[in-house]
Amino acid sequence: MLSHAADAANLASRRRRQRAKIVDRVVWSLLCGGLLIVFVFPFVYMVVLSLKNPAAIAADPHSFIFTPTLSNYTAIIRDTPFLHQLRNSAIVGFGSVLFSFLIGLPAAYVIGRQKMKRVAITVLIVRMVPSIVFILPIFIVYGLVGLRNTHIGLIISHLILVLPLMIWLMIGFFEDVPRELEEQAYIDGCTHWGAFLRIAIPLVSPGLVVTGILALIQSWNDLIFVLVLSGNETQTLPMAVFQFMDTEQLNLGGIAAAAALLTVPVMIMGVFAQRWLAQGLTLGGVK
Amino acid sequence: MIEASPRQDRASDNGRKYSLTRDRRIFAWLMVAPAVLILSALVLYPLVSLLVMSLRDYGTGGNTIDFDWVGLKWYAMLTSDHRFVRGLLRSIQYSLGSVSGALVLGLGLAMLLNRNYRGIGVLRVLFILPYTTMMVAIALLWNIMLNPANGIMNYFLQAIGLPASLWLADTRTVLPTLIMIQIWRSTPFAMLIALAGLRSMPLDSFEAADIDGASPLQKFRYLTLPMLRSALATAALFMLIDTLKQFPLIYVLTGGGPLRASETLYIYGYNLTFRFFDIGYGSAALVALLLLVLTVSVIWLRVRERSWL
Repeated sequence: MLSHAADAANLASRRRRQRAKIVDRVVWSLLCGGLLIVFVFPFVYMVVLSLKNPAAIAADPHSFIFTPTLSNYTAIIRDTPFLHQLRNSAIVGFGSVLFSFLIGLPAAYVIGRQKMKRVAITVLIVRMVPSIVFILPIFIVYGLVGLRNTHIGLIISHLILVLPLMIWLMIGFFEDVPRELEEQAYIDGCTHWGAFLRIAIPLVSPGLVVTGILALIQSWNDLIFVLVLSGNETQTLPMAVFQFMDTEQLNLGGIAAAAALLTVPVMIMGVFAQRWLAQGLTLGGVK
Repeated sequence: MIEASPRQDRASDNGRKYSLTRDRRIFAWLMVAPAVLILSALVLYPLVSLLVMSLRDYGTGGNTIDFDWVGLKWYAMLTSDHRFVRGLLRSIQYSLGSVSGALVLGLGLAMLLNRNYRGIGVLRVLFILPYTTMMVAIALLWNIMLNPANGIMNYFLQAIGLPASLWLADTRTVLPTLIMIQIWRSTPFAMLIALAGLRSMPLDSFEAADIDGASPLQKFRYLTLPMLRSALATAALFMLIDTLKQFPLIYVLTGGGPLRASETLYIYGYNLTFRFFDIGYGSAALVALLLLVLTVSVIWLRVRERSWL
């Protein structure tokens, strides 16, 4: 008798727990679904809109049933300097990231190893300064030395954005390399430079990828340096925006396609590095 | 001779150690020197130059050669410039509004995603999208959705029986709308920070709370929040700096309009220097922006916890 009662009570409590688990799961799914709509739907909407021709948009911009067309994309590539801007973005982005690696990696290594606190904090503060305060003096100097509207001029100005970020991120990655490996190399007759090049650098290569991508995104996102310092020949992707804001009412599909094209390069890099992206994004901000 | 030898040994030993550390120090400075030199040229020169320009009167029209020294005249003028004061307040309003929104949403999102369901990694990547997307693309995206005539946001509002809004085209709604977009943009960042904090929490205190019969609300109030406090504080200050520096979003969507209703300090500084070429006065406004951001940065540095940095 007693054991029967205990069994029944047990069963009841197990059912209750199961029911609570199901309720929890349903509530979770609903909340997640709602938030997913808020944060991801705009991107879906953008892609859908970009695949509609003007007639379909005029009929009903919000319907999801239509015959998709790539005409908005071909129009952008044909009628606007999009490819030219993409090329400039690539030159300026890769140029500034490459320069930053050359200059920044040795610095980050030593700052991390010797725990040069003051240098590190200074680098961090430079990262926090709003870039607009640099631009006016740079604009004036560039006018004097003929660097306005040149790729090299933009690359140099982007070093202000990229170099501090890169040094800061790489300090963290170098710190994770165990010091013993280098001590061992010294005993084997390795120089400091050799230890840096042959031991430390190979061990931080995943960090190099993340840092490179985040630095590239930083350079590609910049609007204000490009707005002031570039010209028709050197303008980068973000400047594409202004071709579409002028004709705002006329061409919703075109704007959507442009937004999609601007989103894609960074998104591809993000998917490629998604394993480290979260880590990299927050490392620069908080740790 | 025999007595002296140990001392000699020690001396030469010391000598070798000394040369090793000196060697290391030279190596260290050689490694840091290029970065330090280039950064100071790129950063110090413009900063000093900006400070100097803010003490000069160039007249209007973008002339950078003839000037008079005017001391702190521009700074005195700033304090009585309504446009400047309003821009400053607007910047603070924009930052505080978007950061508090992003913190609450980000924390909620992190708690939702802190589960070991299959495929949750995909969800996390999807939720990060607004933070990794190019700012100007986000501006275009919201420009389409907020279009008062045929944007989907008004379509949604009307679908649930609310009146359509002018969003960015109305002086009363423009700032809240921009804050809404900024919250949308910054929430994933807050989520990443909160998620990292949640994952590093000791599980045993939660188990103890379970045994004591604590409700989920109590656990959140007395365990989760206190343990996340420092992570959230650093994230908040970082986002505060980030939002004070927001330029592309506002510049592309409104340019500070309509009727200057969204003109933040950053936008005002840009307009003064690059639209009206008012170099001296504009420089002073930019120095004010710099001081504001640096103040928050210093607080941020104080709050941050890190082993040696």
